[in-house]
Amino acid sequence: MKNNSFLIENFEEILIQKSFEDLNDAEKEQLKIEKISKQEYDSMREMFLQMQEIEKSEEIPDHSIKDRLMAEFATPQKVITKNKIISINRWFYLGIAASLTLAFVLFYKLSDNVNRIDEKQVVQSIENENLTNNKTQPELKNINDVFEVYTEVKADTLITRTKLSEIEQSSLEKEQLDVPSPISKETESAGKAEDNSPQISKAAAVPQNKDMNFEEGYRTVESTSVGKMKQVTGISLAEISHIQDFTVEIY
Amino acid sequence: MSMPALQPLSDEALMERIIQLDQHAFSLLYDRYSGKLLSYFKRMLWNNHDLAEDCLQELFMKIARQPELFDVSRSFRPWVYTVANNLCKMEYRKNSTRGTKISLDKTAELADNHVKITEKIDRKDFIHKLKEVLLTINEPHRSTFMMRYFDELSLKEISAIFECSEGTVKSRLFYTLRKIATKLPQFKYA
Repeated sequence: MKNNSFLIENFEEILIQKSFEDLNDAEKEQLKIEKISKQEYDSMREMFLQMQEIEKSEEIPDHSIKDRLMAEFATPQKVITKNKIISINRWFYLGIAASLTLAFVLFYKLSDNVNRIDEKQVVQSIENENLTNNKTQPELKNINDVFEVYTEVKADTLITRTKLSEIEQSSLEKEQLDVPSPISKETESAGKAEDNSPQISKAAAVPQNKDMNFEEGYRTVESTSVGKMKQVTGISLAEISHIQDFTVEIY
Repeated sequence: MSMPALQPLSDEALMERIIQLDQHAFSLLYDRYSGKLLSYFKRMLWNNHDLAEDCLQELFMKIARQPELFDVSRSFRPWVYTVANNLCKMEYRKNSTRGTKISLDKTAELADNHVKITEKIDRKDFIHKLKEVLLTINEPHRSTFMMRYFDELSLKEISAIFECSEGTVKSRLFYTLRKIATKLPQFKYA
């Protein structure tokens, strides 16, 4: 940066205080450097001194200007204008704050929902598990019940079977008594026939069919015996099926 | 606070009160500066009184609407002259774009002719001619000169307005004075 000369730095004081004749050698040397003649210096000085004499009169603005300005300053519009900046800033920051709050709440709520869903899922799974357990328990209970019933039925069946055996035995004995014997007491074959009579009798009750296999024969015998049991004992087929250990079908 | 109570307050203190929407403070500040600023605008804007009043109104309108633009920690006078100077620059731009700009060269030519014709000029004429010649001076020398010798701003204040050193302000003042003296050699200090 170029530094001003002594003359320029102090020109106001020099012009006020000194005419060209009053200048010292150094100051005159400065004028030479600046290429300012004596005439020019005098002219500058005169100009400067006249400027100092200028009356610093001020222009008077029209009163209407002040009135308008005061009205502008006092009107709500101005206040609004001023407040607008503040309110814009205020709303801007409030908006940001509200957005952040909303975002936080939404995030919290969503995360809470997710947690709740997880909890629900856990609870649901637990409940399902419990339900499964609860279902198992009644089933087990039912099974226990069934087992009890089964035990009872089995016991009854055993009793019934025993009874049936007795009844059948008594029935056979009765048949033996009712069937007229061949009276041929002399022959052993006749005796054999007597021994085989219940079998013959039993076989006679079953329709003879040479083509019948073992199973069919068994079924025939079983059905016959079941029918006979029903007839003799008077118990229902369902009971008989129970008695036959649930394997017997009624033909 | 009433007007008399506000009188001793500085410009900066008044601005603080204006920011708080104190009408009395605004009124007092206007009274302090309206005359000075109107004169400044008139000198800067081709002695156009109406244009100077418009600029004055615009300047105070800015203060009325946005007083918070002023930094209360700074000095008011350099600030308000900075705003005024910027408004003048805007007017120069408007004139140049409109094509209605008063030709500074033509003004200077007229001033020179007038000075040559007139041999004896009184002080009133001197001021008039000085202002005309000042219109021929380029910116920022002209506004620097006017602020210093018409508005009596300090070198420090002017340097703050133009954001330059005091040495630069002194240099501008010296060369402007020399130029004016060259253009108005017939004026003799009585």
